[in-house]
Amino acid sequence: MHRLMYSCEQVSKLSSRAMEQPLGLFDRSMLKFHLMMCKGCSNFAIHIEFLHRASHKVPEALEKDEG
Amino acid sequence: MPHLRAIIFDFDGVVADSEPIHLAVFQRVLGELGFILSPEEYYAEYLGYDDKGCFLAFLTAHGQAPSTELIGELVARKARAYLDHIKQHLVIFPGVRELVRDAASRHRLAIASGALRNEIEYALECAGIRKEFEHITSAEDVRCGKPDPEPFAHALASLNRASRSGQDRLAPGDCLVIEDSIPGIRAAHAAGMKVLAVANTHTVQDLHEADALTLGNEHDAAEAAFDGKGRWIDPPADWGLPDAALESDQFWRVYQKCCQRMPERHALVFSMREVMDMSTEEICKKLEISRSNLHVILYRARLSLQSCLAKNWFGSKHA
Repeated sequence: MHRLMYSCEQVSKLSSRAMEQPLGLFDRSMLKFHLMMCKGCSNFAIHIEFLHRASHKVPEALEKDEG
Repeated sequence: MPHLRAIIFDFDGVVADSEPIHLAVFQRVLGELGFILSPEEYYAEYLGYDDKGCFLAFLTAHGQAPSTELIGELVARKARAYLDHIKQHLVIFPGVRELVRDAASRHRLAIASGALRNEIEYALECAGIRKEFEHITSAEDVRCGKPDPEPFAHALASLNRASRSGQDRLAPGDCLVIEDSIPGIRAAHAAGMKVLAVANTHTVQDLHEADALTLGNEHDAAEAAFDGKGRWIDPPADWGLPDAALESDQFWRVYQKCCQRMPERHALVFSMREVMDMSTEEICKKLEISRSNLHVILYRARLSLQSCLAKNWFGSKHA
């Protein structure tokens, strides 16, 4: 059973990858299952969604600075 | 800063990674009297005080009226325990030695601290940077500690006494103070000096009163986030409603500093994807990287930004 379970590190990678491409059915279910039980990973998933929203709103002055 | 001529360093939490040791030793000495000092209480209430001030404030807050003799005895006990500890462990922050040696070639350097003189001298000698500092103001030299401006005024006056000519005389505006605590920032401002705050002990948000800010020491987020079995070492905490931060200029400064801290290539890929909203295909083609490489870079960039913001913006007190 445990060999089938993903670790937090694997799950956080999946959360990130899911923002670029749809996951397969197996990965999607494993991710969902893990996030239901793990507060740390579900916070991480929320945080990177926030980073996505935030980065769309980077003030112009900052963008020029970075470029 | 028009004419930066002198840099005055706070000691604990800026030069020396000694706050955790101070806390442990305070806990031990107060524990002997039957009191419990929690880390939360220490970092929120007593940071930036000298030893005398800390014991006095703590005991008063806990319904005691300590005599001067008792305070003196506690300070002495704590000093002995502290020196015992630092003799076994070098406590200078990484990078400080190089920074101090480099700065000493261009500016006059001093220390203004609430720590005891032999604690400061000992740590600086061990690190091989004692002679770089022209002057040290320690707890013994002043009547009022920070947030009173006296420690900084004392350091400035001492530098000026050593000045060879009138031209060498320093005004408060010629000095930059490097601090990690709120009473320290207030003391330096009250002395008429500019302050660079280092977020070693507090979050950047807590230190917003400073004129400039820099982030504290941090290891590679991706390497530091998980243990050998892929479990979070410090699981991400609840950020509440983080979108409120987007309205704050200060948040964007922290965001920018966190981005600058990533490897350049990671920051570039992250910005193409998340700021410019480019498709993964476009990015892979433009940078000639594989799809799996792109996933790895984006993951590392997100993890690094997430952990940097957790540490420097969404600190536990604001969550």
